[in-house]
Amino acid sequence: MTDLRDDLDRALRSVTVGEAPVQRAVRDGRRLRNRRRLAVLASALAIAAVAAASPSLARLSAGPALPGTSHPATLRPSVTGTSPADPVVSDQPPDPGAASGTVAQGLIGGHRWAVVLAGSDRTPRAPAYACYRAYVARTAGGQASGPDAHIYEDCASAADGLVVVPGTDPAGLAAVLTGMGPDGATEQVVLGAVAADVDYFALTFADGQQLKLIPVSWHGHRYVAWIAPADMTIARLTAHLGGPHFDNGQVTTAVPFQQADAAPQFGLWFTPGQAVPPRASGIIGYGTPGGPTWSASAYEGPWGTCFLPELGRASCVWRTRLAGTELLGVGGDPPAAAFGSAAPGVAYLRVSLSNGTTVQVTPVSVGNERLFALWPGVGVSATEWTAYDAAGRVLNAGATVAGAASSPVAGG
Amino acid sequence: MGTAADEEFAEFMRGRWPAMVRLAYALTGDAGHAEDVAQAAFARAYAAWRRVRQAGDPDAYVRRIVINENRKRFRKHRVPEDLHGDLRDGVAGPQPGLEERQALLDALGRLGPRQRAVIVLRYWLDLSEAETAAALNCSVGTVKSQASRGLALLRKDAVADGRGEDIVEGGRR
Repeated sequence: MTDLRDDLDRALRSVTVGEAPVQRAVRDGRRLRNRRRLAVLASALAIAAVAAASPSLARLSAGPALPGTSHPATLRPSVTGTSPADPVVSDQPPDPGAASGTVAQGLIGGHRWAVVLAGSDRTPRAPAYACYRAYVARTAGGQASGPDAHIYEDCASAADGLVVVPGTDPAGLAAVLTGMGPDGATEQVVLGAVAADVDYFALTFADGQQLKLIPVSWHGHRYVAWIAPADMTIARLTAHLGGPHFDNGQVTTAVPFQQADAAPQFGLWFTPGQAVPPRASGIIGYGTPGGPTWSASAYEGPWGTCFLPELGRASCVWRTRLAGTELLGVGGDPPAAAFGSAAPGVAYLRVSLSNGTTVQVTPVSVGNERLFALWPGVGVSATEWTAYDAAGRVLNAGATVAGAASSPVAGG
Repeated sequence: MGTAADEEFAEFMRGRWPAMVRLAYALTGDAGHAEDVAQAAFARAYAAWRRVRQAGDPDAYVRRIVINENRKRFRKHRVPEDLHGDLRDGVAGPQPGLEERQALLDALGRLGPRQRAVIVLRYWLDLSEAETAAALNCSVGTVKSQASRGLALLRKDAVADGRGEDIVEGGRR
């Protein structure tokens, strides 16, 4: 039997690669950046010149409204903080005449978008899934849900956080990336079920644009949604609490973990004044233990702690602090790094693997946490661990039950 | 960008250069183009380094550029593909499996560009069908069909080369 991934890995790693041309990349990168700045300056000068001739254009550029809608609650995008690369994005509740199930609609740089719930099992208390369609018009001014649109269809299950709001969170948000942008660009499509005590959300992008997301009811549940370019980093999502159409002044805020080519993942929610984990990242394991070269990184921040393999998807633990020494990912099949956290005082761990071997690992400090990773091998998983202090004394030990170690971890 | 940021970028690029060149090589089938594509991707990452860092995962950013650059390249013109050569190992002594590795690269090189991209993204990078479709700007149905045909061709080549009778998928939905 041949595992294709493993074979490809071996074959491609046997390809000899020269030294990284760092200086050339820096030189070309600077040139590229300067060209962009010149282009931005030129377009700004052009806009200023035209605006001087037509004052109404200056007003329009400060906050375009969706044609046909004038929802008073929509916040104006902040153009002053907008990156020149980001289009202006808007998000509105559905028009009165919108299709049934429409959760939200808006514009991305002049292209209309809409998110429409298309069906679910509609079990009143605990629906198992909800299906939806996301539309983005191919042409500026075109109808979002017309034949002119890119369409993405998906169903999100309760396990993805949609439909059922987890715990005390204000929303369960399911996010995907799709190649449905106007020019084939990648867009983030985010749809979420909203808790009963939420009035609205304020979504703030890193470039300063801000959207007000007003929950819309459909078949007994409340939802919000947005579509935006995938590379628009989300600074925060703040839930204004109280209830439908009632703001009691309390808020709770989430900062998602957002890889550059992955959908944002919302984990922890914080109230004002609550301690937030510091942002920190680092490589927590790497090597070539008689097999493929591998590495794993960790990212700590307001989202919790996310573990990222060399090439792959993140696994996140939505906790403000990790609880002492534990294995949070055990590896196995498909091949993946095993990873975990270590309590203060742990100098190293010996991790037993399902193939009978033992691997010794040393924790690495990342922010508030001490983390470790190891490569168990193809089809091999970590089963037990023993933690030692610097003098070699056993501090603690534990075993993993199949599946238990990954239960608090959300795949990204 | 200040000196510290430059140093950070340089360290990142040195560390991730081999993986990105190999990804580009798997996608383009050409060692020279692979280095060009990877170099261009890192240059773009440098140009937006502050924002790339804020996004939290520079690795993924560069990887996406590599995939996009390859996609654009095939949209513009058909490029002759060759996954032969450049198979040297840095370790002295006998290299068990070297022929098999070369045979797999040969078989990969015989796939069409989109089939190869689907195979690499699905079964090497372990992207889901939806993620692969998004990365290649095609439908999930196209990913499924291209993956199925690509795997069938790889299996056929594996049998013809005497490397075994089956190739097992390692991806996930």
